[in-house]
Amino acid sequence: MNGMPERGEEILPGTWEYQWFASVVTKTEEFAGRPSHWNGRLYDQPGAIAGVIEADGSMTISREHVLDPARPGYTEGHSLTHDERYAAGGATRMAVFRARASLSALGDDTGPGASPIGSLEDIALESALADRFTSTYGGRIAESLTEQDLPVDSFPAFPAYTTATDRLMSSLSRPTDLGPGELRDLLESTDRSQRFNVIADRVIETQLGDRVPESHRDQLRQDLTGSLRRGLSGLTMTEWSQLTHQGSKLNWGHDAAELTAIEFDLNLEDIKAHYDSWNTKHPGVEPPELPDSLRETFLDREEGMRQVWAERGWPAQQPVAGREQENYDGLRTQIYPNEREQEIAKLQQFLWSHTAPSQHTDSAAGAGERPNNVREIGSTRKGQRGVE
Amino acid sequence: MDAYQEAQRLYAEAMLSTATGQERIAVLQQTLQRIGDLVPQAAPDERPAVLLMNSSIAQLIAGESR
Repeated sequence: MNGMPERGEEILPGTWEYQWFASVVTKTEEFAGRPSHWNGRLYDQPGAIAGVIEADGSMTISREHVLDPARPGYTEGHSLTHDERYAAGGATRMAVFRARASLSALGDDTGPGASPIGSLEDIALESALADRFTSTYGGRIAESLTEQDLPVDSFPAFPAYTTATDRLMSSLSRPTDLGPGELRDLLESTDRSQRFNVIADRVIETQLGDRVPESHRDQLRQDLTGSLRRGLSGLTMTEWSQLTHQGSKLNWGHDAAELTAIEFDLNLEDIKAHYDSWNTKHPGVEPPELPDSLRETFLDREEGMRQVWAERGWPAQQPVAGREQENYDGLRTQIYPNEREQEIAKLQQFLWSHTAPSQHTDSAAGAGERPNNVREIGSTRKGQRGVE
Repeated sequence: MDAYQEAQRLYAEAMLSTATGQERIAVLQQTLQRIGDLVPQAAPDERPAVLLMNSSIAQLIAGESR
């Protein structure tokens, strides 16, 4: 017993409920082009929860909130009332979202550069990918299963995350030499813990090739993905702000992604220049790692981005590694004259209290160490099936 | 404040909580319950988003408990 409502009765194959949900999963697999990790066992989910994926690969789905409201929309010849139509559409959306979640593998989140499952960057990217999949294919999945016209599409469930990720897919097309759709497919088919690494690997392969010694890879992954991790995880305050209009979340997600892309591109150009310059001057000789002066440039750039965020009204980026105290001292002297700024300050304090060097024995407080730009939710995390 | 906004606030508090281990599980469980209590009050078109929000919390509890 872990405090969750115990899962309810098994929903058996042969029942309408099982057949419908299995059909949603099958259609989701078809549209995604990837298999689900669902083991085929389905249980009722009590309580106010759409459903979860269990460690053994079984799934729960709410009879009350998903299966029962969906059924009228998939009953041939049934004349839907207005309320039934919208309830069936919402239920379909939840089912597709949960089915899409079952396609994501978690992977090992303990290796170099891996994103901890449940970290803010992981939640942001997984939520965005699931949201975009549901809005793109939810309606088509419904159409393939019923003659009824169900309103499945809706405003993004995660407007800041989803808009930012859409924008980044376009920005990263050039350095990865993949179309936005191809890049999205690559991320979707990669374990959640390795999605940022796979972007870096693709960029290293495409832009730097064999000029980079394999021993440099882990550090370059961090140098390249730092802006992406911060850019997405930094949107957490925006996404969950209760005082920010949903439309403003879309706009800031887009703008934040543009800033992130600029930082990414500038860092990449500097990295390429380092290896190109060395290769020209010392052909055939293994290049050294990036110089400290360039790492300082990266930190200055990161700090600059934080300033831009702050000036736009979203001081949500975490402090630059090694410069946390200065940032925190500044926060304490600020005056927050209105409710929105007070909310931002409160959320910022949450992040500070979790990322301050004193909170971590392995903190990346030193400028030469890996920036600790992710937040680990649990201290003893194991591999799990989990979806946000 | 409407139910959806309140659910967002509760979710944010839970996500940005600094608690760890059993304390964190307790925070998540409390959030799960409180967001669940808001579902009947949520507007029909926002209810799926609130339920998915709570599914996210439930999934985190499942992960933390293993």
